[in-house]
Amino acid sequence: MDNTRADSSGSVAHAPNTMQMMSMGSASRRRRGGRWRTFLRNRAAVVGLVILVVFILAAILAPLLTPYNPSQQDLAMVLQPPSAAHWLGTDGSGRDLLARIMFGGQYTLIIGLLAVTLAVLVGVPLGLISGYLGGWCDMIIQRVTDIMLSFNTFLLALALVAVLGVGPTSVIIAVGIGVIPQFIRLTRGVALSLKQRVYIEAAESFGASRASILWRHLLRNAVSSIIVYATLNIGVAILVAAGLGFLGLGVQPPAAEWGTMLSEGSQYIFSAPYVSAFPGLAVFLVVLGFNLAGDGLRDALDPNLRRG
Amino acid sequence: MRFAKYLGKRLIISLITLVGVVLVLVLMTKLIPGDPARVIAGLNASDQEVARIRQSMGLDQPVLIQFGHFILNLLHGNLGTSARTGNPVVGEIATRLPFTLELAICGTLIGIVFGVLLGVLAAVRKGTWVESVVSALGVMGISMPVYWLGLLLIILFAVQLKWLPVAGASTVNSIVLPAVAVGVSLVAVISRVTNSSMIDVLGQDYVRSVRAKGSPERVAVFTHALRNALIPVITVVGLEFGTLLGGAVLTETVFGWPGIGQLAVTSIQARDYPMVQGIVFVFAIMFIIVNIITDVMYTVVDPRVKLHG
Amino acid sequence: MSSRSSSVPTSMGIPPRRRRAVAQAATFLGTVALTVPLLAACTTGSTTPGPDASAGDSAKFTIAIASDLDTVDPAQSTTTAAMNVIDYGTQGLTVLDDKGSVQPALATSWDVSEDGKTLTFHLRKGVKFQDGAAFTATAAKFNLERLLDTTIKAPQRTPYTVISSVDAVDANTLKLTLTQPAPDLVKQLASTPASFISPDSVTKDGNTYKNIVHPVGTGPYAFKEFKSGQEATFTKFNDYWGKKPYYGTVVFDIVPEANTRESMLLSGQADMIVSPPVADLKQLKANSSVSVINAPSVRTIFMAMNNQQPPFNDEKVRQALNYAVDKQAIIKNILGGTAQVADSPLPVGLSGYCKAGAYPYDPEKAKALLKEAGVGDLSVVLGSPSNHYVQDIQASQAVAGYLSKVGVTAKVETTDWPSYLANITAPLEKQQYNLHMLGGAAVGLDAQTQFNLLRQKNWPPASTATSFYTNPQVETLINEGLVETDQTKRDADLCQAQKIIWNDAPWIFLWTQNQILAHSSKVEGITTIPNEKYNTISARPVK
Repeated sequence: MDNTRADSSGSVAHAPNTMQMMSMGSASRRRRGGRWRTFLRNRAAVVGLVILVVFILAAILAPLLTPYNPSQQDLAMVLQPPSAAHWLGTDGSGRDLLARIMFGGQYTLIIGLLAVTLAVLVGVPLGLISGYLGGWCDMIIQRVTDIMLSFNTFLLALALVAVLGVGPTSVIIAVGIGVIPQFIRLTRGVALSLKQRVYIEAAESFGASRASILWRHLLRNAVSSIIVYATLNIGVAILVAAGLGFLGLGVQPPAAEWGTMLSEGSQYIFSAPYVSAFPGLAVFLVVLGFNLAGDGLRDALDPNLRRG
Repeated sequence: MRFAKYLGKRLIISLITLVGVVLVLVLMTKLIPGDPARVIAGLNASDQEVARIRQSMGLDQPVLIQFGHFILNLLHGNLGTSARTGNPVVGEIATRLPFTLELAICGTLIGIVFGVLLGVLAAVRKGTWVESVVSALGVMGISMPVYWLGLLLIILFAVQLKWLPVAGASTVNSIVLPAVAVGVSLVAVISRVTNSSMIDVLGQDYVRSVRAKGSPERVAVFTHALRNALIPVITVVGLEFGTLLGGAVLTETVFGWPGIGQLAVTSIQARDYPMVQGIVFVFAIMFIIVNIITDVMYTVVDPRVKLHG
Repeated sequence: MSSRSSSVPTSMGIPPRRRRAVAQAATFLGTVALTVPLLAACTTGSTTPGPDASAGDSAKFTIAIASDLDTVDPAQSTTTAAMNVIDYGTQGLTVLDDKGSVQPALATSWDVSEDGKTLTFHLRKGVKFQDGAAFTATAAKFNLERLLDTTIKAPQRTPYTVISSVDAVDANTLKLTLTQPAPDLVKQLASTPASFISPDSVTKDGNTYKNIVHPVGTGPYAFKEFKSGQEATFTKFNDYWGKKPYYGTVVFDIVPEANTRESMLLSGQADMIVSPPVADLKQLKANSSVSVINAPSVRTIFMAMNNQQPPFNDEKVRQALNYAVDKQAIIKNILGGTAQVADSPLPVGLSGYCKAGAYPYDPEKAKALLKEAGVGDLSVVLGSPSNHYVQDIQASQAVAGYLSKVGVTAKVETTDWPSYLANITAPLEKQQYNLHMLGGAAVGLDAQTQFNLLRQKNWPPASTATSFYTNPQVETLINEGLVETDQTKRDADLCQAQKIIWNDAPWIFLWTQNQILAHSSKVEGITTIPNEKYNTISARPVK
């Protein structure tokens, strides 16, 4: 098992990141030319991509695709099972579930995207700096990252939401912060391994400034890993955001966020289980899509990630 | 000796971390919106009563004093008094902790047993539909929101089939559905890890040589390979402990399981600062302990890894 | 690590297929067989035995309630849920019957002085506390003084602060001296905060003067234990002075999810549940093994408008919104018929209630009134709690729907309860909702608590009169009525106040929520009190 690494902070390095461990030994699909072709050859990844495309299109084109308004109530049609008029049925206020899921996708996808963007913008530089500079700076950042990592993204986000208050902005910030440690770890690892590389020393000896070395060499090498991690972590972000919504601490009703819909629907579990089953299914499928696509990206772009 | 030094250093770092966590907690409570005194007093209470409650909670004091109180109390083994119930925080947590631990342990057991089983199955049956199915189940397992899974389990097993109780902790088989909900994502993760490392190990020379001696394949696979393949499983369980606890919070809410997760949610919803502080503190200690244990077990089990520092 | 190509065969040897299949099956079964006992070993949850078939003392009555008890100390109680449970074990001078009228309890009779400022209670003789101590005027005095002691956290103390001194005239006579007449005080003394615990018990069983964790009262059931978040247990008190209850043990299971409570009832795990899911009421009523109680309560749900803010400072606008909402339709479709349309700022069942008027559903009239007020299309923010009152957010959205039909676009905003409470009790200039939903319930069934929601001295941030309404005439009527010792004059004053308020329409008057209980049809004798409390003390199996 060669993906353990003792790092300079004095701890036994955990096999970094469970995600890497899980991908050990996956078939070496990267054979004949082209990263894109490798991706497409991976059936699971293609399924994931298709799922994502469907949901993204549904979210963007929602106003065109459904005659119903997601907040349109119809008190006479409360809790109707799926029918020709309402393909997925109606919820406790008579609103069309399909419309709500499609419009709700906007929340879900935007939150996921923005949260991960936040994490990348903060985590990548921090990780690079930490790995390259080493010393005290590294030690402090590593300690904090360790705590955040072990605390688990959801609990971190929950604690942050308690401080920041509820609502979509808080969720984005809380989830984003929760995911930051993943990126710190990632780019720190890249920085550490590249630090040894000869050409950085060569560049240093030519008088190039530290900042420009960081920027050009390290970042360029890390880009594909960052893309893969970002994709995988959008799924995590969505799960966490929906979890907060489920607890009533995320996006608030009457917004059609899927986790919030799950929570509203859980009270009808006996009489109308579809009111919570469908939003949950939506979360599951989208996260699945990001996971499959992310795995495929990793296999295609950077098999090194598997070996660590 | 080296080990003792290592452990000592880890403990000191952990202590400093804990202090940092506490400071952050106390700072955080200053920022939380919402007036806990009014929430606790209720709509009908007069403003004098609300003011009295606010004063008794010590909310009007500066951060450093509150921080000092917390540390002082801590040294006496006292985590403060719940603003919501007036009972000691330690007592409430102590009552509920066993439930969460029970859930975590049972979930971990399910995760290990079924995860290893599926992982080995997929490794031994590599290239067939079995591997694809297990792999697919693996990805689905980590994509599934645990609260949705919990609701589905309730709908199927408790409502439709009526095999198991819907929620609560009152009967012997109340633990089944919650533990399954919590364990599923662990099953997925462990099956993938086991699969990968089994495949690696199966390809190694010494396994081939064991086989060459003529022992039946089953024995070779299960005794020699499994032992080595279990190493990453241990690590994963430690790494995933945080995920397990997070899942427990949500699972406890869905199933009405009286653990600390449910208490945490209720306390946040009620702005019960002392309780939230106490719970976060206990969580932090649990994480640190699990981290250290995982590190140590890792070195014990795999002598190739050295302790540094 | 040796490289491994995908051409490595899965079966690295050639044992017969069948043997392998059998072996695998055996291994799988073996693992399952191992897991089950492991799982069984995991279970440490409290195993409560099912209801006993034999009669009376060994029988257990299980009630599934919705919220955790924040305290079991009568003086500190503030939530109806906790009060209801505590009431099984402790009693006060008086008690409310199922119509909300005052009945004797530990006081058999009482006299009020001419000026209304002295109350003399004649106490019941031969009453024992559950720890064996005798109930005397001294014990009563101890409790009331404890309630008034400001070092004790007692959020519901206010109605009793009118008591200036408590005297134990003799062993069976208690005298209360008041700072001003308080005709509702006798009713208030039936509430849980004014119930009595044994003074001797204050230093035992983990109790302290400041915090009671094991209340010892005079009631038909004795408190046994409370496991936070799980259950509270009471056992029959054999030396109870009154009619002894049937069941030997009562257990309150804390089950926050309504569906879970429902399934506990259907499976027999619970004998009675509170607040079943509104959407399932039809099925439950049709179910022959279940009986549903749908009883009126005093929980008044309304939309408070910001009366100081244009255009809500115009009475016509406020009345218009009252005509714009079809309350009957919301009650039918969203609340499942479990509410009564409001016809007064006070709910039926409160002392001094009188019918004040009606705002039938009339969108045309609403539009006309808005036009008269010179208001065109309006855009407002409607605040709502979620998951705090029955179907609150759904009802708020329905109200917003009706408002939009008369040209008022209402954006519904919600947040968690503590933040919501902070928002609505913010000072006038910081108010972020133009109107918001709130529910008031006077546990003591007294008019004063309800009127408090409409008086200037209680405007936020001081307290919870969140509509910022005031009317000098109303204030005078209330002030005079509340201290008026002549019942007729009092009722007249308060009735007039209600009618004026109704006309002023500071709120969109919505409805009073019913109290819904569901219990096994094999049990009878369960009653309710209009202050949202249930009473199963007389419950017994159907013969």
